[in-house]
Amino acid sequence: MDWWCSATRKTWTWTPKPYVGAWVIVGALVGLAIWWLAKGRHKSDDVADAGSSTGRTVALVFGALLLWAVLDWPLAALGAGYLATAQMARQIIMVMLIAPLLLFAIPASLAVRVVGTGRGLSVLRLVARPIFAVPVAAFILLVFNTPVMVDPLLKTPYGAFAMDFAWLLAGFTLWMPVQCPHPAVRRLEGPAAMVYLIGQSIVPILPGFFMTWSDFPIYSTYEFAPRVFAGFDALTDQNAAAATLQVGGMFLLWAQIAYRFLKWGHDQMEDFRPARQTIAETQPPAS
Amino acid sequence: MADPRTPWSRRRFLGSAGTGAAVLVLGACGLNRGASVDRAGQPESGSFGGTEVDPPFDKPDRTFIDHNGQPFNLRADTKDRLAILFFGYTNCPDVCPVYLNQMSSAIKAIGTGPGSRPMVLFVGVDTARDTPEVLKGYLSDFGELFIGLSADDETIAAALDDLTLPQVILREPDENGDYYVDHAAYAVAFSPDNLGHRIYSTGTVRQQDWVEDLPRLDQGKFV
Repeated sequence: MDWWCSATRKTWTWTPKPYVGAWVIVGALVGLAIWWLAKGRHKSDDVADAGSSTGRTVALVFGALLLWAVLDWPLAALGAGYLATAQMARQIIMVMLIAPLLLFAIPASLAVRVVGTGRGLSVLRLVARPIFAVPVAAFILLVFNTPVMVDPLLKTPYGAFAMDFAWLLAGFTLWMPVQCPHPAVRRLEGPAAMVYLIGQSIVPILPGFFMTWSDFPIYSTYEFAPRVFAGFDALTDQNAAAATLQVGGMFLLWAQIAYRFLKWGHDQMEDFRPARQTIAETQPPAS
Repeated sequence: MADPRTPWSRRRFLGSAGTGAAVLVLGACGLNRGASVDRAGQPESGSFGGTEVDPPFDKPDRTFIDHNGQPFNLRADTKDRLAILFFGYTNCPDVCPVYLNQMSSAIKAIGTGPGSRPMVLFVGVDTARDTPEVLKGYLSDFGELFIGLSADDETIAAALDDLTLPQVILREPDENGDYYVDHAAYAVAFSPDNLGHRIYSTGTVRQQDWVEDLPRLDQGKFV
């Protein structure tokens, strides 16, 4: 039993092969949540939370399930050693789903407890600024998608772990400006958040660019990998990976933009409801 | 006096990030060396893939049975043609299908001109299972340029000896009767001068290398 996935060049089999590291990480996440609930911290009124407790619980459950899905067999094994498409699907899920879900799931009181109000808060404020978040996240994603990094890293579980860690780090950085859980950090909201997310949509395009336009398989890992599906050769896989990264990333991003737009529209309506009622009550009925 | 650090540091940060991203993108594009290859067979000068064999191999004067059941003399039937010789087996789970896929994709990428019509010879070393019929079915997905060759164990062993390649080892069968075969993971490229000037390790040679090398080998260049 391996602790993390890596490229082995062994023939692919559908025999389940769990990874210890994935179970430990997801177990630690769930354990932290249970400890938090058992201690009754979620009932603390010291710090006001954004969003409901139920919403955060749902986000945590989905975030943990997705994290387990991308870190464990079969998706992790396929991504690390066989199919670029699976690897890009993992990347998109980590950056575009798991990171925002887990950030949303973190209670404000936990963020205050962990980060505090001193130097940690100053760093968090810097990270939560779009001018910092977008370039840093884009840079991490670019670096960890270049063949000179990917091929050597995927050869060992340590390298593959570093790559997964970098992707999650990029995801958290990218979402911090709109999803930072610390109450002392100003989040982008409403139209500003939507504009930020639209600007963010450039990020999946950058790593996908050279996969789309290359005439040859750019990653030796996937070029020499034993085929999982007959006829699905390395170049087709690479093109599918680029499409997954770009189209999949866009879809997830625009789904969140649409959600935020509808929520913002609804909040606007709610804010103006008393004024509309007052106007309606003062107007004489039409004769 | 205004403190110049605040506006400059942000600008410098953005500039550094932008430069870094541009360098990475350009660097990644630079890895795609084959994009500059002229598909009509006029590649840019550059190093070959594989390893030069000096002195070059002579073609083994051995006769096989091709996948249509006809005798196939390696020396006579490939005379003055670019021929790539590989020893593998049809039940191979990893090296052989990867190599054949690579070669098939490379030939498609070359399209027309020199190097576009090499004879890709696949000797089935698992003599019990790699019959001409099986080889024909196995190679049919890769195109008409792929020729399956079968022979008895002695002929295959002699051909491997001629090329100083390691001999075939049959592993113990599992409970289902399936077994692996250890075989040389090298492709020998015979140029139209009927000599094998270059040998390619199929675990390291890239599709891009084949696309660049096949036209040059077909034109008699090998260094």
